[in-house]
Amino acid sequence: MNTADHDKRDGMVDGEGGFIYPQSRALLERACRVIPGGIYGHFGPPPCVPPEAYPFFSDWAEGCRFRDVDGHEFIDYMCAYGPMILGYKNPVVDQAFRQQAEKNDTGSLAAPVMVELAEYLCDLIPIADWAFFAKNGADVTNLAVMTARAATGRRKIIAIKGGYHGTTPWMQAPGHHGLIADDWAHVIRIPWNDLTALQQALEEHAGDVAGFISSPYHHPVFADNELPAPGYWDGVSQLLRRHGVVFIIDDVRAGFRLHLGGSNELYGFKPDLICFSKAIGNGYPISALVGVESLRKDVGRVFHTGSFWFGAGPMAAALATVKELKRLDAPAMLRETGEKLLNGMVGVARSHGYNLKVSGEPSMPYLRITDDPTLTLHQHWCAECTRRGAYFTSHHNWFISTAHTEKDIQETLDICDAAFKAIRKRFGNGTA
Amino acid sequence: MEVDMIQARLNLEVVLGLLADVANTDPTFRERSRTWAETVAFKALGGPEGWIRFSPEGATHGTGKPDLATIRLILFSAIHLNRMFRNEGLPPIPVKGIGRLSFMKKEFTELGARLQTLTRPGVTFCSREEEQLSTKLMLSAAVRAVPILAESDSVCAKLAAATPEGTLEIKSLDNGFAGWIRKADGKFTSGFGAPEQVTARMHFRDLDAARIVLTGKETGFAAIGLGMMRVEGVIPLVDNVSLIMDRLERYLA
Ligand SMILES: Cc1ncc(COP(=O)(O)O)c(C=O)c1O
Repeated sequence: MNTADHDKRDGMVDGEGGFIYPQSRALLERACRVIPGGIYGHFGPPPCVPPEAYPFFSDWAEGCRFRDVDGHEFIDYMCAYGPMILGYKNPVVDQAFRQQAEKNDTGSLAAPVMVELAEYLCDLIPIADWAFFAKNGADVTNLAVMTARAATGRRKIIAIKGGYHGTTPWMQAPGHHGLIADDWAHVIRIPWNDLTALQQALEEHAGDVAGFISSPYHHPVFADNELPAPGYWDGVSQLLRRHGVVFIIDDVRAGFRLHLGGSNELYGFKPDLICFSKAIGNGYPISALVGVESLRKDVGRVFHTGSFWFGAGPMAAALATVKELKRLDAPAMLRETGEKLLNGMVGVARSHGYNLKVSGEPSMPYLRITDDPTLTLHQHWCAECTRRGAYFTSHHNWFISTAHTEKDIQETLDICDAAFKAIRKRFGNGTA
Repeated sequence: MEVDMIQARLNLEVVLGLLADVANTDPTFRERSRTWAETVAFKALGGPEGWIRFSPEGATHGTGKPDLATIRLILFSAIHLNRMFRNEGLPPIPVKGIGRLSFMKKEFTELGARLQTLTRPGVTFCSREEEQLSTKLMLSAAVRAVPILAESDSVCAKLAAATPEGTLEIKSLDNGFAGWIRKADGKFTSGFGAPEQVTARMHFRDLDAARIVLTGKETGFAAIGLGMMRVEGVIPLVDNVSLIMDRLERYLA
């Protein structure tokens, strides 16, 4: 059965036609017996509000759609939280992976495709004089920080409040289980877009700051996303150069969606190191750190490796992905699709008397209904959309892929319309 | 040092509160405690002060010095006070109400033992009512403890600073419990009953579900997915307050 003939109403629905998920629930119950928490991390139930509106397990995906284990089909606006950029089961990428895997994948030696991919990235990304590969985003944010410390002999890392760089202890917010105070002792958090705070931190810890790490624009969860203020990145660059601090851009989430040369190119600045993962392999597990010539020696001295980091299949997939992204001029395409969707949604919201605020970049927008500061109304609207087949989470930026078509956008807008009606009916003119 | 002082505050603000709850709600003490007319004041030298009052109107408690204490007890230090609450170490020094100390030895000690039984992990309960009371006490302890921990525990202070302002409603949907925790102007307060405004909700399906989560039989993740617990609204408020609550077990086992 392909996407077109699959009737998404095949799955079970409630009295109002919204999806219900008995198979997902049954699987979650089984999971809870053998996996602590059932489903952990960012796929876990807590951010799905209310959880009964959300599926938890999926067994099929193609293009911009996935199907849950109850047989409902969703237009996916989370795109695996970023990795999917060309659509699930992209034939070009999947074929590149298969061809490589038929030759070899994880083995006892590095594969030639590793060199090919590194060469391609060094050509594509203006600041890249070298590339290094791993699996997850955190592998390379860690490597970037170690490289900064190796290069400077200093301890402190400056990061942005609310910025996410993975789950390694130094990256987590203080107070989470399993951390000790030493883990955050050398991480200084400053507000986004705040050059004064950066300057103060650099002066207060003069001679002890190894690196500054930030996403190219601010994309926290549960809060409006923020673009760099005019002059911000120039100011950051100057301050970091003046203090001899390594400039790290964590492009794990935004990488290849805004600009193929690194998101910094869109905003017109040059960091020393860029961390990529997520979209680089269209779902195949791979991450990359690229950097400038002056850090070649330092990154080369850092010991950092992993059992699966030389997997050749994902490298071939990544090479095919970036080439395909280039062929399609994906960033422009995603921006256009995103703008179409967002303009449409804001209009639909307005027609129902709601204010839908869009922030961030159109290819990975963050949305919020501003009529209720507690976010509850927004959560229920996202839930109503999900129950009707547009998979939205309420706390995290969404992602657009090149597989989202005009037809998908129109269908999404129809779903949004029905969802606004549903929340108006439920909450009336008040907030939740 | 930090640990002893925090524990002393928790004993005077949370444990005395729970003792008042037991006196007011436990079937074996509800009637009996109404016949008591005592106000017991505790003061740890160089540390906090607190009191508990038993009267025909019910039991109440508070921090600082009470208006009219019938029994005044001095402890040499926070450590001394904490030991007393664990039934260990030297007895406190009575500076008032020496003639009434039998109340401390008998009634107050029995009340303390009852609280211990009701909150002991893994205890088997005689009745459903008893189990539900135990769960309510656990919820009350958490609600009372958050402002103290947010202010005094260094890790909680970091969590508190990162917590968005607003009111978290904590409720058991079988009407078994209702309380709230608020952060306003950087300061945490808490209380019982329904809050005026709600920024985030942490709702348990019923007291049984709350017990499953509070005793760690299921994680919050699982409880939410399985429909035992529901969170809504400004979730970072729920997340951070939960992390603060989790640190209570470091002080009050
Ligand atoms: C900006 C950013 N950095 C780093 C990471 C960590 O990546 P991973 O989860 O692959 O370790 C993420 C993941 O969401 C991210 O969004």
